[in-house]
Formats: sequence, structure tokens, C-alpha cells
Amino acid sequence: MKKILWSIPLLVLAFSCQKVDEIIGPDIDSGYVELVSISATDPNIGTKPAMLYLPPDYDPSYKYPVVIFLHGFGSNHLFWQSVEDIKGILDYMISAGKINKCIALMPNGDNVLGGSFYTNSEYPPFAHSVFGRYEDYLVHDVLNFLKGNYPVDTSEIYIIGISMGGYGAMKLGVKYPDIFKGCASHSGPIAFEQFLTEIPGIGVNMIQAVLTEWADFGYHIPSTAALYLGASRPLSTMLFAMAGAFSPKIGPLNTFDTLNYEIPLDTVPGTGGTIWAGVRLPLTPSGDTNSIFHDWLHNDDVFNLIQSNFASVQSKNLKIYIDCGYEDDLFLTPHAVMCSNLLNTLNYTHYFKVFTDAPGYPAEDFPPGHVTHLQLRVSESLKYLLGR
Amino acid sequence: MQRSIKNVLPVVILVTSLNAGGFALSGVGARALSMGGAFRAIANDWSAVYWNPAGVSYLTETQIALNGIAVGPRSSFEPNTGILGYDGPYSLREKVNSVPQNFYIPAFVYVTPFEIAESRVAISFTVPFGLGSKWDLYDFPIGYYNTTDTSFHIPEYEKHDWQSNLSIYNMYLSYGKAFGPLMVGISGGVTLTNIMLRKVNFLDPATIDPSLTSLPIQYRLFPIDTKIEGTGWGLGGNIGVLWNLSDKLKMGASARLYSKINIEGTADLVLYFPYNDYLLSQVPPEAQFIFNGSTASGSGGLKTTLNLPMNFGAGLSYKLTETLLLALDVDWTRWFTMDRLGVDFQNLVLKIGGMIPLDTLKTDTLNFLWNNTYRVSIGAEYALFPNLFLRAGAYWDQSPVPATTTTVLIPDPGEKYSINLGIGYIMKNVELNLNYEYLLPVSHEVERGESYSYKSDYLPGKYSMFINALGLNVNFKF
Repeated sequence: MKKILWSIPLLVLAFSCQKVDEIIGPDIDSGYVELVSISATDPNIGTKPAMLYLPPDYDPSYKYPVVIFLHGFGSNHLFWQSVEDIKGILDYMISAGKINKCIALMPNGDNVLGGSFYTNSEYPPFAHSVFGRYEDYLVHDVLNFLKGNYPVDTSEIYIIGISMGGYGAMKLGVKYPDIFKGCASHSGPIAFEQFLTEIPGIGVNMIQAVLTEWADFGYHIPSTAALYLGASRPLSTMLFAMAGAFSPKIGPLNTFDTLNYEIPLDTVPGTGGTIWAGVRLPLTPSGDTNSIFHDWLHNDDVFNLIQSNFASVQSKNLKIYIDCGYEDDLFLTPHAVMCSNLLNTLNYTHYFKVFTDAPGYPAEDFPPGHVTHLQLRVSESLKYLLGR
Repeated sequence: MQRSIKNVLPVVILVTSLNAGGFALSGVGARALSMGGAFRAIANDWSAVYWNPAGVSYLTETQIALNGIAVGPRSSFEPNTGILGYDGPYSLREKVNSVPQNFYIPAFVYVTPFEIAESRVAISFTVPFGLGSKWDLYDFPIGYYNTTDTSFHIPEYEKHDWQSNLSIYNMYLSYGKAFGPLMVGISGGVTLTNIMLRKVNFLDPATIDPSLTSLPIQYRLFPIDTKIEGTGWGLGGNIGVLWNLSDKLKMGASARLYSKINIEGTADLVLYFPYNDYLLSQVPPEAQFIFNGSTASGSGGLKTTLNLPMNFGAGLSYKLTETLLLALDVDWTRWFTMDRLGVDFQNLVLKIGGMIPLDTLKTDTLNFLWNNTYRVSIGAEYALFPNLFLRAGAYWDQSPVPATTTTVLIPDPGEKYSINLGIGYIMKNVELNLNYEYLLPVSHEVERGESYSYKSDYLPGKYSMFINALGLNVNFKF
């Protein structure tokens, strides 16, 4: 009996001394983020800053996949790190074993109009760079910078973007499937034809909405010195930037047909004020779209690019991720749907999702807008493109 | 912005429920617990003060009983909220174990025969309700604090951000008297309640300014470390009857009742704003406090009224042989009284840096929505020798907590099955009783409903628990 009695405190003590791990989950290793500078071949771009991420336990003797993150309109190379903490996301995804270790680069696609659309801004008659050859900057200068300074697995280069960056990622991915193994568009304007489709509940299409907004602003013409029209006029601001990317013009002031929306914006440095850089808007005086818009569709529209370059996309088995919020503030949801439908028609496997809500975040309180759930969506695109 | 934040916080601080599960303990007394708590129709030792005060009539000798139980609940939770900071896409927690805690629950009873009319009187101190838990459930989401800005230091944050501690003590005077084969008893006295709850609530800044719906998702829920604690006194009592139907068969029934318990205490809140130097530069000066990584805190008084549940039960005991006693109990607890709890706050003002008042909290409601429960207990006692007893028992107990208010604060994941063993030994005027209880591992999945949000009264996920308990009773008779 005494033994039994003595055993009680021992058993209680055994309870007390039990050790339990409170949290069962991944241990997060930390990578490293630094600011780098990348020079462009195009003097119109010059040297631009970029953010570079190196993974935990970075080993220069190892060949790493690369992810290029493209920011949106009106933003810059700081966006992905400063707003979305892409280092934290990549550290987590790598440490949790959801993706392989990778290098990430966040270049700067900003220009004097608020955004380059990662496109070569060229005026064909003179092959002049007007607002910068940003497509070349990315696929040549940026990639050469990476290959020259870091151990890059050139068979695994991915490109992901938000909004304007989503457009750029899809465009460059589809155009260069021999360079990029996968691309992801978060809320990108990737089917320009949708600009001509009436926006449900608004009663006008995007082009008409732009004109209305611009009229409200007194048809103010921005100068490049003023950068862009401002966040309060997002549609007309973006129209000028898109025109600067897809249909710029450079020449003497008197060559601009202003009645037909050829708008000079600023003089070109070093020309003594005789040569102007401007844009050709895709509009007629009556407010319809003109042949410039058809040039946009033909040369720069991702939807058309998928069709024209589909053989290469298919042969290289390009991974494609497309998403958009159900209530996109810029009415871009139909763009994503249209491209996904095209890929379905072409029987091409891809990831597609229209975000309505997220667990714990009901749509009535957390409207699924242009960038609302980006942190959640990036985990999906990273898993889809780089997932183990 | 600061002006418009007024009248917003009252609906977010405590809108999620108190979240305590069924917090009744298994019972009182090593002998009774060894028999699974099937003791209402036996009630022939000091623990009758708890199980059935009619049994106090049996206690013919002056005695002092000391009882202690060490309860070791072990709980785990696999969250399925989807919310950043808990188990969103960057979760650090596939599973969380509660901090291992052991609770030492005392009981003390003094019994004396009351010479007038062969009555008996007992003074008792028991703990009918208790337990608690501590969890490290929440982290600031990725990007909440800009980690690349080394000049910024993240404010201190409570590691165990979900905590509960609840104990209720009864100090009763019991009286029992026999009328032939029928015994009746009554207990009454005061009840002391101590309660502490800590949890994470959220403030959605878009409820202050609708334009903030466009903020990145990691900045859409600002965590509020919320802690309330208080103490209250009330009255309680038991009544019971025991009927010797024959030499072998007895029937017993009893009820436990409580008055409303008025609780007074304090509430402490700390709201953590994110830090992002990039966004800080994008917003006007009057809104910069949203992204400057500061905290807003507030302390104040609180008053509330707790309705403890009534319990009613009946049982049978049968002496199968001279050495073997069998017992069965069924009881019912009216947890329905734990429906909603209104809380009045006094001078609870949330301030930034202790200076700028953000909001004043006045009232809030805690949702329980508990269900009434049944418990069925069986037990046996075998006299191996005249002074050595072996005991065994088991019980099945329902959980009062519906899925719509289930959280981790007090572990009660569902229907429970308990196995109990015990031994008793009598040495002259000293009696020793030991018991061991093992609550079988139980798991319960609380589904995430379509309408689930950060404002919901429950945490979806998988709850698991098991309990070991050891009890010792020393009983001195004079």
C-alpha cells in the first residue's frame, strides 16, 4: 500500500514534466533582399534600380530557378517587397517545402507616363525609342544581369506580375516561351477586345469610360514632367501610358495631328526643343476607336499573341496562370475569362481562377477587387509555376 | 480618421464569444470518481455534500476529509480558418498543442453529527467547475511589419494569445436527516467565481473608412489582444433524497442550483497597427498612425452576470453480493442558461500611445448558445478485504458547446467517454482513497461554414483532447 501511495506524487510529477511542442509547423529560414542597379542598352531607360531576393543558404555553386516579379501601373520596383513582403512569402514557401529555392528579381518598369507596360515604346518610321524599350530591357538587359552575376538555371525562368505587370508577364511569357518556363497574370489587361465591350452596370465600354473621365478632367493633356494625370483619373492616365507604350510618336511638333488625337507631350532632350515625344491615342474625333487600336490588338494584345504564337507556347509547354478578382476595380475580369476560354478552346492546360472570396474573408466585407487578395493569390501562382 | 473610429470598436472587441466549453469537472471525491460519478444513490461518504446531501445523514462520526485531484488535460487544435496570421496560406501552424498545464483541485469537508433529531451537518469547500487553457495561435501575417526596415522594432506581443482560466468554489453548509428509509438533505452557501479570458479579436480598418477595402489583405485585420478577468460572489445549494427501497436497492436524486453571480473585474485591450514605411509615405499625416507600427491600448472595469447551470440527476445502487456494489446515474445539466452574457464596461478607453483617445467601449455581448447535456455514469465497488476496496467506473458525457461557438479556450471537443479506476483502504480511523481517471482521446472537426469570417463566434478546425487525472482522499474520523 505504501508503494502505491508513493507512486501518486511520482505520477503527478511525470504529468508535470511532460514536454510538448506547442507549434507543429515549418521552421522558416530567412533569405536576403538587396537593392541592385541594372543598366539598360536603351539610353532612354538608363540605369534602373531593382530588388533582388536570394534564398536561404544561398550557394553560388548551385543553379537556381529565377522568378521575375513585375509591378503594376503607377508603382515601381519596391512594390513587391515593400507592400507584399515577397521575401517573407518566398522564405515561407521555400522553408515549408512548397516551392524549390529560387532567386527573385523585381525590376523597375516605371517610366515618365507612370508605367511602361513592359513594351518597346517605338515609333516605327524612325525605329526610335520614345519612352523606352522595356521589353528588350527585361528579356535582354535584366536577364543578362542575372546570368552574369548569379547562378541561374536558364531552363527555369518564370515571370509573374500584377495588373500592368500581369499583362507584361503574360505577354513576355507567351512571346518568349523559349526563355520563360511559366508566366502568371494577376489581374492583367490581357484581352484588349474587352475594352470595346460594354461594362455591366456601367452602360459604356472602357474606351467610352476613359473619354468620359478625360472630359471631366477638361481634356487635360499631361506633360511628361508632370508624370501622369494622377490616381484620381486612373483610366485616362492609363490610356496615355498604354498609348506611350503601344502607339508612341516622335517628331517635330507640327507633325502631330492633334485633331486626330496625336498628342505631343514633351520635347526630347538634346534636340534643342525641336523634336517632341508624344502618343497616338486609339480614338477618332467622334470617340470611336481607330486603326491605332487595331494595331494594339495586332501587335500587343496577349489574347491575339496566344493565338499567333500558340505553336511555340505548346511546343515549349509554357505554364500559364491567370487570375482576377470577381469585382475588379478596373473591369478586367472579362479579360482573364476571355484568355482562359481561348486556352480551353485550344485544349491547353492552364490555371485559371476568378476570385470571389477567400476563407474567412467574405466578399461583402472583402470585395474581390484588383489587388485585394494578392498575397493569397501569389501563393497559388508560385505553387502552380514552381511547386514541388 | 481618428474621429471616425469612434463607435466602431464596441462591435469588434468581444463580438466573438466567450468560447468556454463545458467547464464542469468530473465531480468531487476520490471514491465517487473511481465509480465514474455514479454516486447519487450511494452518497455514504463525505462527498455526499456534492453528489447528494441526503447522504450526509449517513455520516455518524465527526470527520475531516481532504481531497486533491491533479487534472492534466492535453488538447490540440488544427486550425482551418484560412485567415492570415492563423492558418492562411503562410501558416506556421499545422497543429497547435495547448500549453501542458496541470490543475490541482482541492476539496475539504468537515462533518459532525448533530445530536438533535439524529441529524448530521457538514461544512464543505469544493470546486465543481474549473480548468483553463493556453494557446499560441496567432502570428502577425507576413508583411504586417516591414522586416526590411531594421530601424523599426516590433512591439511586444503576448505569446499565448488565447488563454482561459476559470474556477468556481463552493463553500456550503449541508444538513441531512433520515426519516426511516427515506433520507433528505440540503446544502447551501456561497459561490466564488474567478474568470480570465484572453483572445485575439480583429479590427477591420475598412469598417472605419470604406476606401480602405483596397488595402492589401495582410493589412485588413488589425489584431486586438483582448483580456478580461473578474471575480464574483453568488449563492448556491443542493437538495437531495435517498430512499432505501430494500436492503440491497437504493434510489437517489439530487439537484444543484446557483443564483446569478455578479462579476466585477477589468478589461485590457491592445490594438496593434502594422508598420509599412512605403505605405506610410503614401497616406496623409492624419492617417499615418495606421501604418506606423504603434499600438493603442486601453484598460477599464467591467461588470457582468454569470448564470451557472442547474444540474439534476437520479441514480440507483444495488448491492449484488455482500462484497459487490453496483451503481448507475443519469444527470442533466441545463447549460442553456449559458446563452448570452451582457458585459458593461466602465471607463474603457482605447488610446494611441496612452495619449490620444480612439474610442470608448461601453457594452458588449458574449455569445455561448450552449445546449443542455446528459451524462450517464456506471460504477462498481468490490470489497477485496473488509478494509480494502477496488473500484471501477465509466461515464459518457455530452458537450454543451455547439459548433457555432466552439473555440480553443476551454477544451471540450465533443462527446466524452471516461474510464475510472480506484482503490480504498481503511486503517483504523484513517481512510485513504485513490482514483485515476482517463478521458479517452476525443476528436471533433468543426467545419468552416460558408458564412465563416473573422467575426464568427467559432474557430473552425479539428479539436482533440484527452485527460489524465489522479485523485487522493484522506479521511480522518474521530
